[in-house]
Amino acid sequence: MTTENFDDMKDRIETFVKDLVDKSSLDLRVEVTETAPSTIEVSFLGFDLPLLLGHNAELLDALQYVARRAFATAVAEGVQIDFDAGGYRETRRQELELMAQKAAERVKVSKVPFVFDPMNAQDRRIIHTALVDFDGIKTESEGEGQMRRVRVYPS
Amino acid sequence: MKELIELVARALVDHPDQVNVKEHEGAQTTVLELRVADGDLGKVIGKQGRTARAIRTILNASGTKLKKRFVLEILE
Repeated sequence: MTTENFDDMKDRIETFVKDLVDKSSLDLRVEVTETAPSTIEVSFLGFDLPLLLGHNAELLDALQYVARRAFATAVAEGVQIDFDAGGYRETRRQELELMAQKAAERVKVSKVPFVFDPMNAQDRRIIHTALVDFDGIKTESEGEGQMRRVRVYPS
Repeated sequence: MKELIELVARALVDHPDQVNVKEHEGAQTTVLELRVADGDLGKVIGKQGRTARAIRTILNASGTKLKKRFVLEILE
């Protein structure tokens, strides 16, 4: 994708998300930035952050999903579209890594498998990645769709 | 709310001109009926209904703000 096309697409994403927020009556300000080559970050500020981040950021993820589908052609060409607000993604990553560590230690000692609550692909990936080098345990995902969850078991 | 569903649906489908939304306002619940071109049904529903679920999540958030209940029906 050329720089011109990229900039044009970034503008279109910004217009789309602002329009979406506006028509949803959400009290949020939208900022769209290029955080890395071919990476667009859409971040939010404002009164409705709690609504956006409640239930494990269900609304933030819904908006991100719709935007990725709406700009599916660009995504297929390698453009990354990431939605964030108030440092949520980083906080969530730290929380998941801590949960992963605790679960792995428990399984290693007890030899009893531990199954996490269902999580989206992004969260499951963080758990798997965090435990790749952890000796004595293995991880796998089980279940389908919305019910897919990470299982930690002794190796 | 009609405009919200139109905006999202038009952004997702191949035939935005064939997106049609009808709003039926009840006492407590407003029903939004979405129609798209035959070939675009999958685009608004998504794999395992994921797109439809995302649209409903956005709609519910909007309902929370407006203190109203909205139901999205995707018509075949």
